[in-house]
Order: sequence, then structure tokens, then C-alpha cells
Amino acid sequence: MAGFSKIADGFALDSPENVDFSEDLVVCSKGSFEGDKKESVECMFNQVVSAFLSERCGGKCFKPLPPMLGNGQAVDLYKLYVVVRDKGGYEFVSENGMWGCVAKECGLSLEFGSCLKLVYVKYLDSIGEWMERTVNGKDLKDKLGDSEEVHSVNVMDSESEKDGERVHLDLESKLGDSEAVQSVRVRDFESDTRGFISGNLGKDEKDGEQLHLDLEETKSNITSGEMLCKGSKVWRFADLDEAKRNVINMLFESSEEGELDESKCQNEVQSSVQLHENERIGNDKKIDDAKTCDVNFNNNRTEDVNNRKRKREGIQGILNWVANVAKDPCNPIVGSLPERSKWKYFGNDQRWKQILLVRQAMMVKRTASSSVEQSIWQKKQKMHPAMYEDHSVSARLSRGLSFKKSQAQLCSETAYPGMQGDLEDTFGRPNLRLAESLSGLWIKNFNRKRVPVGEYFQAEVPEWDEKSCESDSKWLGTRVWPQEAKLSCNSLIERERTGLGRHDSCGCEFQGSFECVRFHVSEKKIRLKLELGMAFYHWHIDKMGEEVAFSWNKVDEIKFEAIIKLNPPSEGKCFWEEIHKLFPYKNREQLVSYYFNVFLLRRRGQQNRSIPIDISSDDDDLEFETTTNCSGQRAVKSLKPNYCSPKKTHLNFRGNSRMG
Amino acid sequence: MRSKDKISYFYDGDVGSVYFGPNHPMKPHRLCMTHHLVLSYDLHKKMEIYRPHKAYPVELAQFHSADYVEFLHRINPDTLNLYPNELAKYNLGEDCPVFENLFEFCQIYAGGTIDAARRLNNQLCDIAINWAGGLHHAKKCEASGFCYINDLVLGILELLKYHARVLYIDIDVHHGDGVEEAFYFTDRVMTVSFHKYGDLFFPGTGEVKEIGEREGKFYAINVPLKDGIDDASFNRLFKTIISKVVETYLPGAIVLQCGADSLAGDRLGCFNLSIDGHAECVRFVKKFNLPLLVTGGGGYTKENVARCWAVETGVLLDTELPNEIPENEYSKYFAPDYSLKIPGGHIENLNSKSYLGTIKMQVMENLRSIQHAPGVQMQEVPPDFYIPDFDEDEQNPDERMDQQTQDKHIQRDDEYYEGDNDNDHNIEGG
Repeated sequence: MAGFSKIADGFALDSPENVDFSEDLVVCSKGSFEGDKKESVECMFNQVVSAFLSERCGGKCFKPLPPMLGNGQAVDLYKLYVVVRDKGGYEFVSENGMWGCVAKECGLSLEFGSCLKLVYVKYLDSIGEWMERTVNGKDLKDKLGDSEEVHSVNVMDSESEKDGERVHLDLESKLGDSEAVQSVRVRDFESDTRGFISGNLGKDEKDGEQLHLDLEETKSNITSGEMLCKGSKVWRFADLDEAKRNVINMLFESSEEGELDESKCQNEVQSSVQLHENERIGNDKKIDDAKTCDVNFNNNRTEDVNNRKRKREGIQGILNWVANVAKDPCNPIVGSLPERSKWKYFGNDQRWKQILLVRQAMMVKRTASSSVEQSIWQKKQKMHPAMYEDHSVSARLSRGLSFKKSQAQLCSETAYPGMQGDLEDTFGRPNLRLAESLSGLWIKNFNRKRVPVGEYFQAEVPEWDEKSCESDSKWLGTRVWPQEAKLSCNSLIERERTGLGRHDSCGCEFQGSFECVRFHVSEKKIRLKLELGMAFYHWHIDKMGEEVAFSWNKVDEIKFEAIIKLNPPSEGKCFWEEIHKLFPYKNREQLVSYYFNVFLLRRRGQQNRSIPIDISSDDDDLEFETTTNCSGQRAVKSLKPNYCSPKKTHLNFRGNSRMG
Repeated sequence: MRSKDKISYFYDGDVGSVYFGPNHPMKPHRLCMTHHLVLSYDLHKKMEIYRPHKAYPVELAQFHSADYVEFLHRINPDTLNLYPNELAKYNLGEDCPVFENLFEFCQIYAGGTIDAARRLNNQLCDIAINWAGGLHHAKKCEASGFCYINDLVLGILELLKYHARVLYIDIDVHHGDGVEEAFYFTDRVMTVSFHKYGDLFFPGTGEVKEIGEREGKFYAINVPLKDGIDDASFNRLFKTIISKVVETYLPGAIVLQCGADSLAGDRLGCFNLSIDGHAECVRFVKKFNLPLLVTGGGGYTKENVARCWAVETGVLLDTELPNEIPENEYSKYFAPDYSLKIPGGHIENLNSKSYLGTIKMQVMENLRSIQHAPGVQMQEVPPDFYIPDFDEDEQNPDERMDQQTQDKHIQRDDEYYEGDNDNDHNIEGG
């Protein structure tokens, strides 16, 4: 055990250093096979609570554990929790004045009832609430045999059904007479989850977001067997109070078994492999398949294990090793783990190192892939991605960027700050590749998005039947041009050759002067007007160009410009709202028309004179306009290739109502 | 002087007053600019211009779920706050904001594409153009990526009433996921999308391995590309794949989505295509002489969008436009040189020859599966068009093809028109 636990601890300890974000939930329980099982459950519970609390208050407040009463007696939080829960929950207990009874059952005297209530409120209420919210989710318990019970702690964070992300911290432990298996699994379903959702999570899909911590049956589990848990998982989310969650891009699994026989162990490992295999198969084949597999896997793991299994020696080997360590961590073959700083001196043939590499690479890869975009994006947006976390926005891939960014950020900040460098330092550069290749299997699945299928997605395409052609001659559009009754201006049309470019020479005194250009533009317009007749008005040509300004008075024009200058979108302000407020007598159409036909065009005219190259009139942000030096403009331009990924990143998501 | 093809062009002046909000990259005003440019080049004299009917909710519900359409109809910026759940459900609010005349805008652009399809169906025209359409991301039950109503799907459904098979081609820089998804199970529509894929680029789908499912297996083709692809390699790939697709699939009609965000210098794009390179795709597709529905799509540097679509309108009308943009109200937007063509970009081309080769190979491989297992009643619609046997290794394939196209035309109709001859051959070796 020692060897492996050291690894795990190493990681668990590494991560929280990182910071203000260290609201990590560290599920790290150090039990031993021989240790008192009850204690270890309590220990684990305490740690969950501790992590939960520190998460909740972001490290700002300190709550000692275990809490002490006035007389110096420690409160057994686990017991308190169980007792209160058994009595019907906090509210029920309070309403019925049962705190005294609770105190009694906790082995304290009656007068400590109110103290316990306080302790409960401070320490356990929120966690209790959190669990309650999720209890209606499907019970995760799975009977595996007479002497075995699956006990799961399932922390799930999900957005709505369709959302492409899901955190699934699946802490499963099997308890038998003398065996215990615990695995911690954090899975991130980046792509549409339908295919991935494992059976026991499926039921929760409908709910918008759920956190699922199912500690049910904790108590009864203690009755049999040893409890052993060793598995560490760093888990965090931005803020527990926030309904919306972000994703952790981590997948890590460790499974441990006590005295499980070889085949069982093998089974466990295989099923892990199978799980990943399913995902992979799902990618290669049909989503439906994967779904079925996943469900099968969860419902009936022992039977399904050997079906459709594919060989993947590398992973298999590593998992076997993990399983073996789990079986007997003290085995001298495992050895002990050297200092972290010395890791890079060891070769890749070391099993423990491969595992670390896999684990790190799994996390680093996505961090690295999006970090560049992220920083640029942030610059451009002038907005911290965290803002997105406050909105449901961060959920979908379609909202692409925001989600990806926060995801990436989470990943990096949670577990491995400055991972890339860190990893290289630790392992030496060449090893990155190995690590990536090992983890590629998983990563690939995560980075891929699939086409959702089902009645809510596909169009209904009728069978082809030649006879069924119904002639739909209605609604073919209204012909605007050419007009039925040709007007007398025909001669004018015919005289000009079509498709002519700009007149390069004209009879104007000052060719290319402001007046000259203006003259030709209006000449052209008048010609168009004569030619087009009514079409001219249908197409609103009369409302095109700077002529729109004629219907505005000077005061309004100045006001319009001033508002835009005072409310640059770069500062998160919305000039559009202001404009609407200050021009109640103009309708939206007029305002939009003025903005595009006069304001932007004039601005562009100014830009044309001052910065002749690389002008972007597609940026509403005046900051760029005021940057009149060319280098500044280029700098902006150079961001473009990177900026593209969001595509459709519309920055002003806050402004839904601004147009009103 | 009318082109031998009868062209219907759809435009509604009302799109000019549509505004997604400050800093939203989608600017329907680009449609006004495009139209204005088309007019200033006098292209209107060669075609018929229609004002589309505003599609009725029931028409939109041919593809979209009725509740979604109803919600789009009902929602406006003042009532936004009342429906937080629906907004989230339908993915409205962020990329796809709710603005005042949102539904009318949807009705206009969807109506345009539907009308265009109907005119094609009734053989009232050979080519129909709706630059306002092409919003390929919209899903059955939700908005996505600036798209609310998927006019392409509606148009294709309309075309399917008259054609056994419709080919959809998408050269937007983004994957045409909405259309692909809608027709993922059917072999009556083949979707081919050329797009940037990877680096978490929106929308995240469009891998080469996405090929459709059930009857639709092998009837979705994805050509994922990396940053910086240039005219030469894009056109080569496009021609190779499309000619093979047409030859294999024998579509009755083609829908071409001409998203202009694949042009160099687009605000959200990352390709190096010049307008010529982009328009070359249109020219190539036109040569199949099949009923053709051309729509717009993305395009976020609006003056380039206007340039591109004006050029492509010209291409469809067999009219070469002079490079100097005639005086017009929006001249200032085309500063500094006021020219029509924009050169390709200079972003590093990350598409190696071997990468493109692999992609092409996989696509061809999938296409071969169709030949062996034709899921469609290929015999029902005899090909009444010419399939150029495109050979990408040939130095100037267009030359040879033209000769054959001409022969075909002469046999087919004596309405042959000299415009075909002056096809410029400045294409870089196919």
C-alpha cells in the first residue's frame, strides 16, 4: 500500500498548493486493510466534509475539525450526520425539537442539543442539502453477490440533458466479507453524453444540474468486511452554491482490492478497460452501440466484461499493475516511490512512472491545447471566463469557447498549475510523447463531439415516390425585378453596358476629389432610381448610404456619436441600450439604419484617411478606431487566426435584454 | 443579354434593419451591401429578382419542432426575462440573441430559400440565389451559432418533393452540422462539408469519420481542414471530391452553401482563400448544369462578404466583373483600393500534402462504399447532365472539361451562348 499511497498523496498534496482555487475536494482516505473499518468511514466522511467546507467558503473561513463543544468534547460529525438523517433530516429534527435526542444518541448529554444544532448548521447542513437534492437520483447500489455490496459515492455534476459535459466522480466501493474495492472515477463527458452516460447516471439526465453524493448505506456497509480505500481524487468546482458547474477534465481510476481472488481482480480491471473500450467503440461505430454497452456494463458488469473486449495491451498492463499494487501495496516488488524531484531520472519502464505519466498527460493535454486561445480570447474579450461560470453559458460546446476555456482553466488550475513546464521538468521532455500516446485513448474520446441522433434531431424525410410530387406553385416569391410594365427609362438601361466597373476618368475638374466622388455616387443613385422604379423603394435603396443622415438633425447626430463613444463595448457597456433610451422618438429601424449607413460609414471614411490598411469596420469597439497607429491595427489583426475558434463567440451574452 | 441559365435572385430590403447587437459578428447589413454591389455592377439586368414570401410558422415546422418555432415567434426582447428555461432549452440568448424582429428575419431568409427551391422545382429557373439564407447550424429544436431556422434543411426538404436525391455542398469555414444532423439517417440527401476542424473550433463536429448512420451511412461527407488552406489546395480537393460525389451519387439538384467566412481575413475564419478561389467552387458546381440553389452563410468581414457574393452572383450569371468597384453608396467600405478581388491570406498553411491526401483517401474510400451498395433508386432519375471526368493530376482540367461541356451543350440545345467560351482559365492547375 505504501508505495501507491505515496503516489496518491503526492498528487493530492501537490494540487492544493495551487492556490486560491484550492477548494478542492480531496477524497483521500488512508485506510489500511487491518484498520478499523468504522474509523475509516468516519475518516473519509470527515475529509469529505472538510473539503466541502473549504470549497464552500473558499478558504476564507476556518472551521476546525472535528468541532469541539464547550467542554472540549469532540463531535463525531459522521455520527451526527447519520443520526440526524435517520431522524428525518435537519428540518424535521428542528421542527420537532429533537435535538436533545440527537445529542443523546451521539453520546452527549441533553443540554448539548442546541450546540449540536449549531454544529450541524455550520458543518453539515449544506452538505446534507446537497445530498438530499440528489437522493432522488437513481440508487447506485448494485448487488453483486451475497457478500458483496457496491457502495458508491457518486458525485455528479451535470448540466441539462443535452449538455455536453458531465462530471462524474464515481466513487465505488465494493465491500465484501474481507474485500474492498474502491475506485474513484472522474469522468468528463465532453461530447454529447447520450452515448456515454453510464446506466446509473442516465436517470439524472432530465434534471438541470445535479450533484450527486450518495452516501447511503454507509452505515450498513461497515457491518461486513474490511474497509479499505485508497484512491485519491482531486476534485473541484467553482462554487458549490452555483448551480452551474464546470467540468473537470480528468479521468483517473484506481481500484483496489483486498483479498479478492485473482479473477475478480482481473474482472475489475477488465471492466475498466471495457468501459473505455465502449467509449471508443462508440466513436468508431454507432452511438447507440456505445450507449447500450455502457448501460450493460453498469447493470451487468460481470457478464458483459468479456463481450466485445478488445485487446489493448498497454492499458491492460498498466491497469493490471495498479490492481496488483492495490492487492498488496506492501509487496517489495512494488517498491517505494522516490522523491518527486527525482522522477525524471527514472526510465519509462518503471510502471509507477508510466502511470504518473498517463495521469498527468491526461490532464495536461487539453490544458495545453486551449491555453493559447484562452489567453488571446481573454484579451480580446476583456472579460474573465469566470464570468461565464455564473451563467449557464459555460455548458455547451456550441457556446464553445466559454465552456472550453473554463474547462481548461479548471483543469490546469485545479490539479496542475503550470503543468506543461512542470511535467517537462519532472519527466524530461521526450517522455511527454509517451505519456500522450498512453493517454491518447481517453483524450481522443473527450475531444470528439458526436452527431446526436433521434427524433429530436433528424428531419423527417419521406420515402421517395415519384408520383407523390405535389405541385407547390404557391409562394414562389414576388417578382420585383424586372417589372412587368417596363417604364420609359428603358433606353437608359440599354444604353449602358452592363457589368461595368468604376469610371476611371470623368469630366470632373478635380478627379477623385470629395465632390467628384459624391457626384458620381449620387449620379449612379439617380440612374438606379430611374431604372428600378418601384424596386428602388422595395429594396430600400433610398435608405442606403449617408443620405440617411438627411432625416436626422445635427443635434441628434452628435448625440448618437457621443453615446457610442461613451459606452464602448470593450468596457462591457452597451451603447445600444442607451441609444434606445435617448432616442425614444426614433424607431429601431431608423437607429440601425443610421448606425450602419451613416455612423459606421463616416467612421470608416475617417479610418480610410488615417489608417489606410488593415481596417476592420466589423468591430463595434471604438477602441480600435481610436488606435490610429498602424502597428496597433496589425496587432489586432494578428489575433484573428486565434480568435476564430469561438467562431460564433458573441461576446455580449449579457446583453440579451439590451435591445429592448 | 440574358444568361442561358435562368436565374432567380431573392432579396428583401427589410433585412437591412436587422441587428444582432453590438459586437455581434453577424451583421445582416452585409446583405444590403451585397445587394447594392450587385446593383452597382448592373447584374440585376441579367436576372430576375424576387422578394421572398415570409415563411409561415407551419412551413418552418416542416423541419423544426413546433414548440421551438412557436417560441421564436412569441419571444421578444421585452419578454425575455419571463422564459429563462426556454431560452436555455432553445439555446437562445448568447450566440443567438433575441432581438426585436428576430422572427421576421427568420421568415424572410427561410422564405427565400423555400421559394428558391420551389422555383427550381417548378422549373421556373435553373439557378436560384438567396444570399440571406444558408444558416446551416440551426438544429431541429434549438438555435446554434447565430442560426435560428435552418433554411437549408427546409429548402432541401422542398427539393426532395421533386428530386430523389439532393446534394448539399458547404464551403463555409464552419462545419455544416445542422444540415448534416438533419439528414444523418437518409440517403436521399448527401451532405458534403469542407470546413476547419480541430482546436475546439466551432461547432466541434465534422470529423472525417462522421459518415452518417442507418440508411444515411456514407451519405455524409466531411472534409476537415486545418488553418490556412490556400486556393490551390482547396480547389484541388474540392474538385476531386465533388466530381466524384456527383458521379457517384447522381443528385437531382444541388444546394450550395457559400459561407464567406472561409475567405482570408475573415473575422472568425482562418483560411487563406481569395475571392477567386472561393468563387471557383461556385463556378465548378455550376458546370454540372443541375438545378442549383445557392445560399449565403457565414461571413463576418462584411465588405469581403459583399465582394465575394457579388463576384459569385457574377459567376452564376457568367459575367466577369471588373475589378474596380463602381461608385456606390457604400464605396467607403471598400477602401483603400476600392477593388473587388481580395488576395489570399498569408496565414501559415497547416494542411500538409500528406494530410490532405489522407483526408481525400478516406473520403474516396467511403464513396466507394456507396458504389457497391447503392441505397437509392439510382435508375429512376437518368442523369441529364454531364459529369466532367475530373482528373486532378491534369494540369488544366478546366480546359478539357470545357470542351466536353461545350459538345454536350451543342447536342443538348442550340441555345448555346458565347458566354461559356470566355470562361477564364486563370485557375491554378485545378
